[in-house]
Amino acid sequence: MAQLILKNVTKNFGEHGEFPVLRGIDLEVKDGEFVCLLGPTGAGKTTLFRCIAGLETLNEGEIRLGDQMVNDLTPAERDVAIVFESYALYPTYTVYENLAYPLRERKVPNAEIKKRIDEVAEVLHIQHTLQRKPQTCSGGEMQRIAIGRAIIRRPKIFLFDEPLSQLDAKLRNEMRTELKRIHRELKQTLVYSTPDQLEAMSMGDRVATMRDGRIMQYDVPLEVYLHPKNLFTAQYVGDHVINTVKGTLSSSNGKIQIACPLFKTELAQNITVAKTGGSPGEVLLGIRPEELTLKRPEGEAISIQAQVYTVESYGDYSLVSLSHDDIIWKMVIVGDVGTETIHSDEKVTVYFPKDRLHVIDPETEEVLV
Amino acid sequence: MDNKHGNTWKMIKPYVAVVVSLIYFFPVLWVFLTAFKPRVDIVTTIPRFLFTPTLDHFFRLFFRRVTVAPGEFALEATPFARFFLNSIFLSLTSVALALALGTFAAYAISRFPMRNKGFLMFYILSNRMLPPIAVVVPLYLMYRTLGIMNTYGGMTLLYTAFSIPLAIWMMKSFFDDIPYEIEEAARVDGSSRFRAFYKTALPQVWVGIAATFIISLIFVWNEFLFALMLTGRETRTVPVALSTALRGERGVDWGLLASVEAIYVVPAIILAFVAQGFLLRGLTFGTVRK
Repeated sequence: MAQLILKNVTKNFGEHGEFPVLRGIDLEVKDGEFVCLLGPTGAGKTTLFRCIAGLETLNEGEIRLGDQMVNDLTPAERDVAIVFESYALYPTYTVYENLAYPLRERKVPNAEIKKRIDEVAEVLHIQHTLQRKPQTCSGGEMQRIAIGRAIIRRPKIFLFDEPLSQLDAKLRNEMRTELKRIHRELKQTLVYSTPDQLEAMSMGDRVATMRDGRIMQYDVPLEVYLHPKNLFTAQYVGDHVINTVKGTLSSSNGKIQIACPLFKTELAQNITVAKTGGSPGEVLLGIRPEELTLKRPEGEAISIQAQVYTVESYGDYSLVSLSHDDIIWKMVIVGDVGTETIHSDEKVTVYFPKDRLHVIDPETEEVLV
Repeated sequence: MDNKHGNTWKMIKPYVAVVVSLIYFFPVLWVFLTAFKPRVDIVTTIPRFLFTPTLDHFFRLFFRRVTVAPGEFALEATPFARFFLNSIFLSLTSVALALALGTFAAYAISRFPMRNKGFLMFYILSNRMLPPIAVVVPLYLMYRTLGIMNTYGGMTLLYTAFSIPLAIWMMKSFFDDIPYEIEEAARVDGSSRFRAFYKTALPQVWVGIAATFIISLIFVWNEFLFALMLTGRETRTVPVALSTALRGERGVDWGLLASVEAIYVVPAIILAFVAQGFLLRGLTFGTVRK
């Protein structure tokens, strides 16, 4: 058990290092914490894991595990366990030997190995697979075996690299709960990478969004959802992509006015937009589809006039597309009210709380409010 | 209609296969028949398939009669046993060496980043592209200068070098086909690079090692030209002995020739037969996804 601290971790690929993959990652994972790295393919999540495990050498930066700097240690010396996306089980050994492998490499006596395998197999429900070869097991079993091989040697830290991406949707849901349970029982530091925002939001104590080798935001899931720091995080987190519209910022009488084709409003705070091009005062306005309602919410609210374009019903909720000139916004209506009360081509007024409006700088993609 | 056509083909296919294999097998069969034929039956104008088998040729292969005193004969061993042992020793040691070196080299080439890997692989293979006849004379001069003509060391060196390119190429394709992540998992699990190779990668390419071993062994087993130029009385291998030592004053001794061939071809046939599973997998490995 240990904390993990990354300082300015930089990694370039290519013969002359011309392809930057990690551009100065700073990350602190507390002892026993469950941290999710969330980002699309190519964000550098796997490379970051490989750097932490020692399978890649850094170009710059520092990795500290516990109170030790591990940059120059071999993977074997670091005491890190990875669950690979492909599981990477040893195909020539039985499941029992797969689980025993890390212990045998550490010269743990046979009796102890057997005891620990029995424990782990029970926790993961894989007792029936022990004498089989991993290839003969199902996807879910292989995944649990891979986790078993990681937890059996009680490492300082776990790295789970997209462990659920190979499973089908139903199994993935089950394993998500299972993983949370395992983490609760182990109480060990765990970093988990996934391209699936739902996984990250539901499992992590904290979530780090990643893009192009940078950490975009690092916070608890609710903060990441409610107060994204940048356009990428705002768009990537959430079941439905955030609605955006171009608007302008102007100040009169010391107050900040925001105007866009859909609505006009006044801001309480004073904000400035980077003046690196584009017309001055241009901003992007964002609101989550889940924040839009047909009923006026309590408190200060902004209203939008729009026409219903399409209604997609998913049973437990409906996704409504609203159009206003050529701007299309999405709205989520929970419950089966959608199809009952709203129809295509109908004109509606929708509302959202003013404090849920995000103002985004189009140049820096930073969220200003 | 189509189905009926398919069924007919299905029925006759094994017979066609039998006929084709018989055509290929016939020379081998003929060698075996000749090896057991009495001398007079070998050269009859109408070939005989029925005859009283004899072990005379095999006997003559290993022993000859020498006159000790007038009217008194003794049996003396011919050098043939030695030629057989030479063939066995040289092929086994050189192929084992080549395989050991080739496996390490192939693993390194497959796993580690290095510059001009493509050129390196081409260069390794190019050793086998030159026709042997082009290199045999320079080799002869080198061997003579170094004084390693007609030595086991020299011949092992030659055949090892001769087998390494194939070993590297084959083993590299096997290593390329197994995911690197498994070895990385082993390293994270506490293995050194070498142990990860030895404990996780090697067991996965076992089939490849067997296939490479057999193919290389058959190459060396049958090699003629280098052996002809570079071996002498002590280190002579069977292919060379076949061509040189069997000509008596009365022309070619076909019975003796056939008996050598019969013995010599047996290990190759057994190997190929036992190993055909490996060979098939070895030759198609990497081209067909499981």
